[in-house]
Amino acid sequence: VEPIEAISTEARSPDDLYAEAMSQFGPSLDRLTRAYEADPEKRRDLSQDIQLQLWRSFRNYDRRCSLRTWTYRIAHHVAASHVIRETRTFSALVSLEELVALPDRHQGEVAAEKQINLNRLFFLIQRLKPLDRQVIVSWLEGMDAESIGEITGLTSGAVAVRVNRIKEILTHRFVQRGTYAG
Amino acid sequence: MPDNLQSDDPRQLWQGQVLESNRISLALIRQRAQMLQNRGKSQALGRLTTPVVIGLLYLFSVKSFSGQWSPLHPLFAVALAWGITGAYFLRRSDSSKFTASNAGFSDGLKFCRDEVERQRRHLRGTLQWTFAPILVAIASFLLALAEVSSAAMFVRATPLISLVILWIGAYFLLRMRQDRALRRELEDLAELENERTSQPTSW
Repeated sequence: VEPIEAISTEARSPDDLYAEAMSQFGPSLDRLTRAYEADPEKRRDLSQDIQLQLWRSFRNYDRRCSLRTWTYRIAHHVAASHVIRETRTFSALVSLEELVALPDRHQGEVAAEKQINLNRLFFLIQRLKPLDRQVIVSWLEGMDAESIGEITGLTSGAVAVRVNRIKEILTHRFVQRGTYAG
Repeated sequence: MPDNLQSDDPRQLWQGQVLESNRISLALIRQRAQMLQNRGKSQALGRLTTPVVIGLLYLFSVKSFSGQWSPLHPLFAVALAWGITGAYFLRRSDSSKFTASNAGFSDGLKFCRDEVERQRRHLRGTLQWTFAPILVAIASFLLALAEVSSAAMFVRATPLISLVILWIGAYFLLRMRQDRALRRELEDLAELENERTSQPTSW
């Protein structure tokens, strides 16, 4: 993840800011979209919606926060709206605590280890409530607690608790397969 | 648990995944923005579905029971007025400026709370302004049917009436369940907000 200071936002038009954000965070946004939508067709639509709303949002951008925080906030907002709309009811989504109890669909599979682990990761993430999803995606992107807090609005303590839970869940799931020693 | 993870850790796995790029050009983004605007207009027309359905049921009722049951007209007038008012209010809430692009200053917690509240308002609005007037229209129709038809004819219509009642009950229960789930989510988010106002702990 690029340092915030590396991105100069002085005297830029919304189009330039959008281009800058996409060149800096484009791959990250592609991964983020995958965390929110499993269906490829819907994912394409969601990705395009994120780009549209991001482009629109730069009319309001006044540099009160970094370009990175702004970009991730908008992307997570669009994706969270999508999840809330698509899921219809929150009872289908789980919190981090409930995630521990979910059965591991991929247990026992042996081929294509990396792909299986990645699928397992998506299986877990795509069942989470939007806010927990924001934390896990930001952590997977390599962000620190302060940056995650800026995006999600959670305190550093609340972020730390969640990240630790995520690590426990992932350790439990991945160590079973002997692939993760985090 | 250490934070420096090994090469096959979830973060490496996550960041090293093969990407599918759905990147679009600025020209396409502008085109999509226009498309969204047009979709908004057709959504506005869609809001007229309720009064149209009530109107059609009214015409059918007038044709079938005209002059045979006097409360038919005022009851349908109430349902129609209710449906039209609802279409106006629902349209007004559709066109409110709340979009993700205007919420860059909100963090995830605030946005999620606003979005869940908006979904809850939408759900309640649909029950109040769409479901209720249709219910009044259906009830008026059934009352007129019960009043003017013979017992044998009413018995023949019983399966259809039962299905309608079942549909109404199932729809209402489903929406109530959704409302409860949204309320629970709002409570969870409020708890997190309270946590934020208390002393933050270190990382």
